[in-house]
Amino acid sequence: MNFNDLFFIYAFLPVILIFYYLIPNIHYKNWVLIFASFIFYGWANPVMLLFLFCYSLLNYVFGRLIGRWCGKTAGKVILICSLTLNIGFLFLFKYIHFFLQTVGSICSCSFSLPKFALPLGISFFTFRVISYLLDVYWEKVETEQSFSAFLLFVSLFPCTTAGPIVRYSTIGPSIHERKIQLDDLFAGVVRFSIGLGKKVILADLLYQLTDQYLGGDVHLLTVSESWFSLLIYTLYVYFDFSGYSDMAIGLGRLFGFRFEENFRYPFVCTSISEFWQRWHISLGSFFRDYLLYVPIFGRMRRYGGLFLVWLCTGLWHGASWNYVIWGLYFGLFIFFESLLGKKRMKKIPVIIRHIYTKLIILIGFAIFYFTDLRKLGTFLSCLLGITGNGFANEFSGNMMLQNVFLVLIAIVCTFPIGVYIKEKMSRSSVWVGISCVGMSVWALFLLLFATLLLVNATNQPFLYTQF
Amino acid sequence: MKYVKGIKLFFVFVFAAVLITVGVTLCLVKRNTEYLEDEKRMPESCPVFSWSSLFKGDFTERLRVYYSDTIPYRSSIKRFSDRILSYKGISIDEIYIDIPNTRPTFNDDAGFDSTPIPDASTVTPGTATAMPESTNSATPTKAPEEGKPNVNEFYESQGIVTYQKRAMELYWGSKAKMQVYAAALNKLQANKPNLNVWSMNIPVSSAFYLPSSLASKYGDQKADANYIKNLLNRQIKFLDVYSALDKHKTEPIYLRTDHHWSYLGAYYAVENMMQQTGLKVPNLTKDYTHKSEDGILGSFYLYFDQKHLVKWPETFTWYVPKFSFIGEYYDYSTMKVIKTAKNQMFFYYTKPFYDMVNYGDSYLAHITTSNQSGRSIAVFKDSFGNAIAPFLAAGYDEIWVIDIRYYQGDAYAFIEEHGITDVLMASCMLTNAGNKVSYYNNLFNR
Repeated sequence: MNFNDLFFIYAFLPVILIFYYLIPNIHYKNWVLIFASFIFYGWANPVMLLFLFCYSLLNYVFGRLIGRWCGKTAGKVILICSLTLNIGFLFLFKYIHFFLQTVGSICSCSFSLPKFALPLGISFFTFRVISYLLDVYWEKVETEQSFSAFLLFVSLFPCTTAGPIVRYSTIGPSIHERKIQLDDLFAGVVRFSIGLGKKVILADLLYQLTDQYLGGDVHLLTVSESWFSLLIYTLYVYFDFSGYSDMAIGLGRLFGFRFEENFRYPFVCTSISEFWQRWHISLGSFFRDYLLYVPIFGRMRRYGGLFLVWLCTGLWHGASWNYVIWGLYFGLFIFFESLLGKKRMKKIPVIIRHIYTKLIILIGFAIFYFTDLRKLGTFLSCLLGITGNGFANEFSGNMMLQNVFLVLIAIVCTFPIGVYIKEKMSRSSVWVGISCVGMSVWALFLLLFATLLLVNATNQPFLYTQF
Repeated sequence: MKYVKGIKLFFVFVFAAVLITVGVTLCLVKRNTEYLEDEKRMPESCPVFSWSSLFKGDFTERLRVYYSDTIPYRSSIKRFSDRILSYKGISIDEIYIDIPNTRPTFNDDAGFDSTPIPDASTVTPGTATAMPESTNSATPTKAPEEGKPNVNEFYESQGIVTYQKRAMELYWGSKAKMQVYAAALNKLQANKPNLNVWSMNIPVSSAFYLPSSLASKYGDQKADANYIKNLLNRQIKFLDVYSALDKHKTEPIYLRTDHHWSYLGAYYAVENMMQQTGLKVPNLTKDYTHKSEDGILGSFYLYFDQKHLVKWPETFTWYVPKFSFIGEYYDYSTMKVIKTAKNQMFFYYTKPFYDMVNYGDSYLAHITTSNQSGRSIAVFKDSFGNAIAPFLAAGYDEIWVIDIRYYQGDAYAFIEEHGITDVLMASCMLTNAGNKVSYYNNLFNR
């Protein structure tokens, strides 16, 4: 089940909300959430519930033991064991085949393992649990004594399957005590609707368009088509991911949890470092807080840490070499920017910085898209116009114009216009009211329009795209 | 600011009301379990609970799909949202273009395979052995289930263009493939010298309706059909479908929202053919009852994702024979009769559409009429050939309709066994000049 699904929005969510708000006791509210989270998680594969439960139990025990022997050798040993196990699970489920394939191609032999189902959201909840264990060890948070509370932390359905990577330090206290105010409800509802609109109205339509250009033989693309397709793909990834994060944050608010922001209008950045401070913030901050200072590179720690962070950032996104290259690609530019220094960066005209960042980001997403490196090479050639297809053909312009409003709206939505308007309007109480009404109407419109589009979501047409 | 709180409270209440009202309504309202016309499928049925289906996740997933599939007025909602989405851009000169980058390139005559192709000028027409043996013979695939979209129904077109509310496939043909087509027919004629072999090369609509700015950039279907004609053995009867249709191009001879020709177009093609057979020529007014239905959207909207066509649905017309006949429908895999019908040739769930004649591509059809001409015809076809059977029935004693993609038997044995006097290849130029020509090769070039 996904958030952008009619069954979720109009069957699952209302029932859970009704039960949740009818029950006054926080302890029982938590059990409602655990029950809802288990239904949500196990919807398509109930067997995975066993994994989730056992995984939670194991890490709960680890957390208690680490808390018990914090600062002692035993605590360190248990921490290492727990981290090894968690990373091991992640490696086994997500990366083992990639690893064996790579080793096999180096040694010219082949290894095979039976394919097994990947637990939904494993990349997210393992990181959340790792952050909890490390925070307990570093005494940044208290050990969670209640198994039900810990189970809720791991399985909380708004953030379990697709992020953001919500840390225990963020929501731990709220698990035991939280008050839901009107502002939380309003903000939650608006945020959820905006996220739904981003995902269903923008991301899904942009994806169809992307597939038309990039889904087949890319060597036929002209220069303008290549850049256009890259732009719409980048927009698709942003709206898909940030839309889902918005829905998660909105849902969290409805249940009294405040998650950290995960996207902060990344395309207004003027440096790649700034881009990564605005894009998938929960992942970046996780690596910054838990990986950057891993003391394994000695004197080259600074650069070694950077290398490790960006290698892991790439790998986290997928078990394929293009993701590794993608991570290191951005790492390289961050490295250059760190060498240049912030002061020198600021001296470069803003327009140049914008062009620079947008180019690097777009090309980065080309690397992100193509898991086949040969196709990536072909596509990069198309971008540069060295394939002989020319800048445009008689159809390029027409095809772009057929989607011009969609693309323009998507581009406009990458800017913090709503935030700007809200700020301006907050100066007068009348305007605050008007902005409130405006936001409400907009959110309701998005909810209803997305609902219309979702009616067709279960239609799997035999699209004759292979003409 | 109390009034701001009031606004927030009101909106939260509205949101909750929407969620609960819609949710309760969807639970209580009668679900639409009828055939989904715009998707050509039955909606998901309400799943039956069992512990095993629950543990596999089947029950819950099917429940979720059932919930969405059976929403009342689903088709209307879909069309409404498609109408809104059709305004996501603008078109120049009313032209909508959909050129996928998966389109085949036939810029040279080598086609797709690496078989050496002889220079066409060295090929003597009518000499079957001078033709190239295609190495990519296609094996038959499973016929589509009745009432479901045909997953094999794709053609190797260069893309889709909509011009003046008419969607069309862009055409480019491979000379190498046309040679394979001609070789297959020549072999058939050589093996069966007493058989009347007909070649009906049906142009797709872009032959007549493409704007001039585009027409010059794509293949010339008339010229390519003539190229095929010049390769065929002189005994083979080449039907000039292009000219027959050209005379009537201001009439609705092609569907605007579907990639097929209309039944009217098929009639004109068959009329032209029957004038050469010596048999009764069908009369559209005397021999057929005209039926039509408005608001029809065809394959370009349903399967080719041309959403803008939702603004321009068309009137679909079909012609029901007034004379009597019996239809038998064979399963392609078992070659056993699984359905029969008397005086009925058109079958559909809720709305008529092109594939309704003789169940479309799903079955091998055998029509027996009360004619006493002593002539029977086997139509080897792609989906374009579906539309001609009702008109052939005016003159032939028996009509066999066989899809080249699904027939698994021995075509020669079939012809022999059923005493076929005429064989008609009825397929569009995209088949005859594209990779699907391999099916003809598989059936006849041996």
